[in-house]
Parts: sequence; structure tokens; C-alpha cells
Amino acid sequence: MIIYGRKRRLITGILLSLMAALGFGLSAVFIKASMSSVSVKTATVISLISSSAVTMVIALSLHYEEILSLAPMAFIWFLLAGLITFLGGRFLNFHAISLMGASKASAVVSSTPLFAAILAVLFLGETIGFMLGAGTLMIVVGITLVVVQE
Amino acid sequence: MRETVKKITYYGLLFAVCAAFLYALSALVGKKITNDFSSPMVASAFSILFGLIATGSVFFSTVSREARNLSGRSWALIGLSGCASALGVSGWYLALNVTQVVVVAPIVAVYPLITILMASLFLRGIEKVTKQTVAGGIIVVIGVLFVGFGT
Repeated sequence: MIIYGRKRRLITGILLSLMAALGFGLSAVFIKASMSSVSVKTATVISLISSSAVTMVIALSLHYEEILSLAPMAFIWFLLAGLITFLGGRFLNFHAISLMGASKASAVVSSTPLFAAILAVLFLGETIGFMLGAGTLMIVVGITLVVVQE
Repeated sequence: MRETVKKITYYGLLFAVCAAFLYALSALVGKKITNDFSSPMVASAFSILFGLIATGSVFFSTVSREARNLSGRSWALIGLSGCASALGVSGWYLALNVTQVVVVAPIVAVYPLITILMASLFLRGIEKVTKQTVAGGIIVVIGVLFVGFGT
């Protein structure tokens, strides 16, 4: 019974992960398809309207009690995260998609874990091991292949 | 002409690298939020809402001018893009709720390959997907997996 429960959770986890990968993957393609008739600024704002609607519905349906008891300080951090991720990150990501194309921009932007690792080494004192070094090298080679083309 | 294309590509690269850096920075802020204040799903929903308010305020004049003349097709495509990325974020957090990160991270990390596949299927007239892009994308994904397991 326990094994059955674990198996079900694993399969659910895999399906949700696939949904996440498909969602991230399709997002760039839809944006690129719309870029011929709209500026990056407008695309960023309109995409955030639908993103906000979907995530708010999910958050309210799963975490209603938690939302009602949020500390006021949490909203300052939400604002900071919103500014960095969307006014900064998503806006620049859409700019990159409009200039390079969805496939190239996605390959470069997916190097986010590398920057997270660099920040962790710089500010959290983590060390650079073989895996991190080899991964960094591969990301640089991969991005070079994607960007430098005849 | 070739110089212009090169310049556009390198500006695109610069923007993409800056976006990757900002997403990494936001992961650090997200870690602080989820440690001290809320669950990842709530943090994500409110960050997007505040991001919308901030972005809407900064770009208000451009958006209000363009939105009126936008075709239904453009509205639909951009709206679908927002929904897709919201499903991406929600799927990521919900998956982490039911299984370990060692299962979730490698599956989600392949998303650039999904973008490349979808672009080659649906953006045929808009962008060209070369073998070199596919090879580069695969190498980046493997590198991201190495970095993920190495930290």
C-alpha cells in the first residue's frame, strides 16, 4: 500500500515536472510568434496579466488560510522578487527572444543555475567541485555553439 | 547587413545572460521568502502580481497605446505565453511538493529542448532552427544538470 502510494506520488511528480518543462518551453514559442505585431514592453505586461491570474487561482485554492495570515514584511519581499524577476528578468528575456529567436534565447537563459551557483560560491561560501566546473564549461561551450553561427 | 545581424545577436546574448543572472538573483530572494514568510506557490503568485503592478506602471503609456490596436491573435498568443509560464512555475512547485528535487530538476531542465522542438514545428517561417542550435541546446542542458547536481 505504502509502495503504491510512493509510486503514485512519483508518477504525479514526473507528470507535474513534464507540465513545468512544457510550460516553460511553450512560453517562449508563443511570445516569439506574437512579436511581429507588439513591442516587448506590451508583451511583458500582457503575459504577466495571464500569469498572475493562473497562479493566483492556484495559490488561493491551495493556500487560502496561509494567504490570510501573511506577515506585512512578506509583501516587501514579494515586491522585490517581482521587480527582479519580471520587470528585470522577464522583460530582458522577451527582448532576447525578439532579437535572437526563442530557441537560442531559451538555451542561454536556461543557464540560470550556473549564475545561482556563482552567487552561492561568492556569497554563501560554497566551493567549486568537479561537477560545477565541468557543468560551467559545458554551458559556455553550448552557448557559444548556439550564438556563434554562420 | 551581416554586421547588423551579428550586432543584434550579441545584444540578444547580452539580454539573455542578464535575464539568466536576474533569475538566479530572484532564486536567492525566493529562498529567503520561502524560508521566512510563505510557501513557494504563494510567493510565486504574489511576486507575479507585484511584478505586474510594477511593470504595468513603468510601461503604462506604451501598453495603453498599443493594447487598443492589438489583434485578437496577438492577445491570444501573449496570453497563452503567460499561462504557459504560470503553469511552468506552478508545475515546478507542485512537483516538488510530491517528489524529490532529484526527480524534478532534470525533467524541468530539458525545457530549452522543448522550446527548440516547438520552434522548429511552429515557428518555421519566423526562425530557423539549425543542427548547431540543437547541439548547443543539448550541451547546455547537460551542463545545467552537472551544475545542479554539483551544488
